[in-house]
Amino acid sequence: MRTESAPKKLISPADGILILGLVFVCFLFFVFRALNQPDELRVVVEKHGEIVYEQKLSGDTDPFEYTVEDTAVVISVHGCTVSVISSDCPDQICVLTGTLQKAGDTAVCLPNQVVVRVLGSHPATVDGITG
Amino acid sequence: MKQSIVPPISSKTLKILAAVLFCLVFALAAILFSSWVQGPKGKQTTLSTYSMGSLVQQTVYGNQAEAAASAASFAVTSLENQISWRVENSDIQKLNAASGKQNVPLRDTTAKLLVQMLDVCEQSGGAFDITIAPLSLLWNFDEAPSLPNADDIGYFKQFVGYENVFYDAAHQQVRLDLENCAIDLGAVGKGAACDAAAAVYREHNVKAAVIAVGGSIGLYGTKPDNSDWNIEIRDPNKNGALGVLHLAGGFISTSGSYEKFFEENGVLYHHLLDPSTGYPADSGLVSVTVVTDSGALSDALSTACFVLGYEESLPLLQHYAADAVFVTVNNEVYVTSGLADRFDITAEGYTIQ
Repeated sequence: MRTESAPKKLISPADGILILGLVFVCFLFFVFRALNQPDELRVVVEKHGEIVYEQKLSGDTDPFEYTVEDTAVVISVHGCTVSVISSDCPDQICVLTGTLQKAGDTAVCLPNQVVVRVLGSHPATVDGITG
Repeated sequence: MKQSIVPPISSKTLKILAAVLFCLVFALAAILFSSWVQGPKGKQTTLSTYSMGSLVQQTVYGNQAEAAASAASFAVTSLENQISWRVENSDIQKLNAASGKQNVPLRDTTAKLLVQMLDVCEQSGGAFDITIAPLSLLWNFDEAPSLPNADDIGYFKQFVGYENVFYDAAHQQVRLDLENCAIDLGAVGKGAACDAAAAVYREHNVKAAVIAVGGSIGLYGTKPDNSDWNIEIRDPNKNGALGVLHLAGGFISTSGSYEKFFEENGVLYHHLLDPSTGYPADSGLVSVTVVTDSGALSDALSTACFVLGYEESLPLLQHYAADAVFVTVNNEVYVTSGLADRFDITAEGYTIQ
């Protein structure tokens, strides 16, 4: 029951519950969004330890090739996958690595000091690879 | 009735303002909460360099991360210059050149490493032997591997034997007592590099770091989110992972027949030589991964265990309180007790014993 003379409460209990309810829904929305970001993949190419090329990977882009500057190392990007398709190194280990498709997949060409990595927006699950 | 002087804001407007304020406060709380749930990331630096014929990759966490990573990279190269027989004027090159002649003084790091490695030679009954150089040079896996003829193998085998290494601790000098005897630390260089990096991280008060020198890995400190380090073991038979080790720390090295090999007349020859035969070790294993508290030790033990085979490796590992994951030629996987709860196999086609 309200009277015309100065009400003591600014917000009635009913208003308060409504506001808190709405705010809680906003809270859940933010948290849900933050926890469910899809992993965005990108390819990063390093030469002599420096990044020389970086490109987002998306299913929508047409396949293309990229030659690492001043080398004979060629990578092919197809949708969300990358592979080293040719190199002038004697052992061809980079080429034999095959398709890189998930975050953390890497191909290394030691003689050319080239590293091709697929990275995701989420933190890496693996800290190192032995073997 | 007294009129109080109030600003012309109705109670309805005030309610809306209060609601908006609450929303902003809770949005902030939500963002902070989800950031907390995802875990702290902290300041992190990655660095890729090349040493010892390998890619050296570091991830360092902490305020001096960049300086520490650069210093560690420099330490790895310095170590290579000290212990590689290939590098002119390295301690080992000088030592090999003086075989059968005189004592050669060694720098601290080389001396310490040599003493540690001679112990593994002894404990492994010579399965790991740092004087393997005459045979490893003959097989030449690093450049142009080919099958040497049996006479050559027999001839060079006579110069292999760690018992020919005489260490004078008082003067920090070493002599190779047999001419043509030579030391090759190639089997342990990468692990030793991880130790050198860990020393640098300590000096720089690094919070946490992981260094990979080829396939040898060193773990330092605790990750910002306090979780275990996840180290993948490569599948020895196909592309991809065999499984993942979840470790609180330590040093990891792997020896595998698939790493360097060639085929001749339908026979596969791999680079892990058995010093007693002069031929690639034939112990029923395709790979062994060792985890222990020193990089050089993990590297030496992985070589020793590959040559010894599963059964005979166990006492050696126990002596050093080290653990290992073995993969046999029959696709069986053995995990020693210290790693039992810490290895998750993910590849298909293997049976865990």
